[in-house]
Amino acid sequence: MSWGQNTHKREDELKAAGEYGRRTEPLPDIHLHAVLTAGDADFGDELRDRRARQEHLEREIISLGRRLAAPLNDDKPKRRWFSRGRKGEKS
Amino acid sequence: MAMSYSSMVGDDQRQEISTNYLASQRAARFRPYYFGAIVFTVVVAFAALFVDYMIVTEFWTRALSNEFLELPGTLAGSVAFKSLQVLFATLAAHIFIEQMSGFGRAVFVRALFILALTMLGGVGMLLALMSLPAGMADAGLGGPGASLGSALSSLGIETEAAREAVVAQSSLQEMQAYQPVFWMASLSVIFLVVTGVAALFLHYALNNLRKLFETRDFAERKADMARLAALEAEYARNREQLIDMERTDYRRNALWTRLMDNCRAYESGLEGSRAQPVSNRRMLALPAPGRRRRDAASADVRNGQLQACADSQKIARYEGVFEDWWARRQRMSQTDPAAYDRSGEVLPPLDGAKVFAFSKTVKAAE
Repeated sequence: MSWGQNTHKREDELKAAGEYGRRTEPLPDIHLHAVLTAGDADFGDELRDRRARQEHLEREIISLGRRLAAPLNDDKPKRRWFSRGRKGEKS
Repeated sequence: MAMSYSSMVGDDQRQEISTNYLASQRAARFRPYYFGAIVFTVVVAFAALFVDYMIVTEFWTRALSNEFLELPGTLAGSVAFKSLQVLFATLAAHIFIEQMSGFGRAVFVRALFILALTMLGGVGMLLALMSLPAGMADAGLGGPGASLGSALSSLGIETEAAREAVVAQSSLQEMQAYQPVFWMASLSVIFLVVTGVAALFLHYALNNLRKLFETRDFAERKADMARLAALEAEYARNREQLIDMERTDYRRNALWTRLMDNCRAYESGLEGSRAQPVSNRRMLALPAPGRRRRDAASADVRNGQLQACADSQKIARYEGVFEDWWARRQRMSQTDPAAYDRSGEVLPPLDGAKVFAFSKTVKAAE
């Protein structure tokens, strides 16, 4: 979904524009400026949210990667005594 | 701009993750084996406990019984309680094994093996004595040979067999003095072997139980791997989207698209307004004085309004408004950049150098 879609603000803008048309009035400059300003603010919010999400994803991926790459057993390899096997093999 | 995606997980780390996944999967396949091993070791441990119980019961029965091997009524019930000490002896041995190092455990197992050999040797010797050939028994004590020797010795004739019989008789009497000690030592050896086996099998059972629980790691690891893949895919998508959104022309296009959406909504409203007079036309029965003139005047007004609307819909006007707004925004963003870039307010950067490199990449893309 692209930025600024399906929001109440956007629907209100479109309704207001349609209303100007139904009243046979030219679309005023102030409406256009308001639309652009609101759109710019929405775009900035979306950009900020995506950056924050990216930071969050980065941390999640790093921590998950570390956890999955951790050794399965923390036990040190045990030395076997009285055995002909190689050292370091677990009994 | 095509940009190479650099993963947050390094190649070495990914290799470790893959190795761990395979090891976990392999361990998960052994789940039925661990389960069967638990059942087997627990059965063996309980069987050893039962044997221990019977041995100690016999010990206490012999210790407390009279010369007819009968237990007094008051002590008969206490034998069962006294025999239950094997449970605690086994637990103590198990704790002892758990505290041992690998070396100590190896010594314990080998000592146990030697005791088991001794036990088997003792059992074998008993069986051999119980099934001696008849000829050998005759040459020993109490046989016809011994009777002949004693008869000859009573006549004053000392034979070689009679002398040997006297020596054997004295040796047997010495051995009989040590019989309770031998009996006690044999019982202890058997008790130690069986208790040791029970403790070791408890140890194995617990080890297998731990491994059985560890096999659950695979399901969680599998889910985590899927989650990691999903997060990485989202990270890549988000990164591409961010690269696009950081570009100025992308922002301009997005704002222009939004402006054009409003223009389309205005156009559809205007279309409805153009169709309205036709649908609302009233049929009047009689002509009224001045009505034609009033209708013409209102039509002129309406045509003027429609013309003004049509003039306002020219693309050059929208472009002019957009450029004017954009120039003003650029001026304001230079004056107060913080108001237009609030990304730093959300989260501090994880790695300053990385963010700097990312920004440089985006700038190069622009």
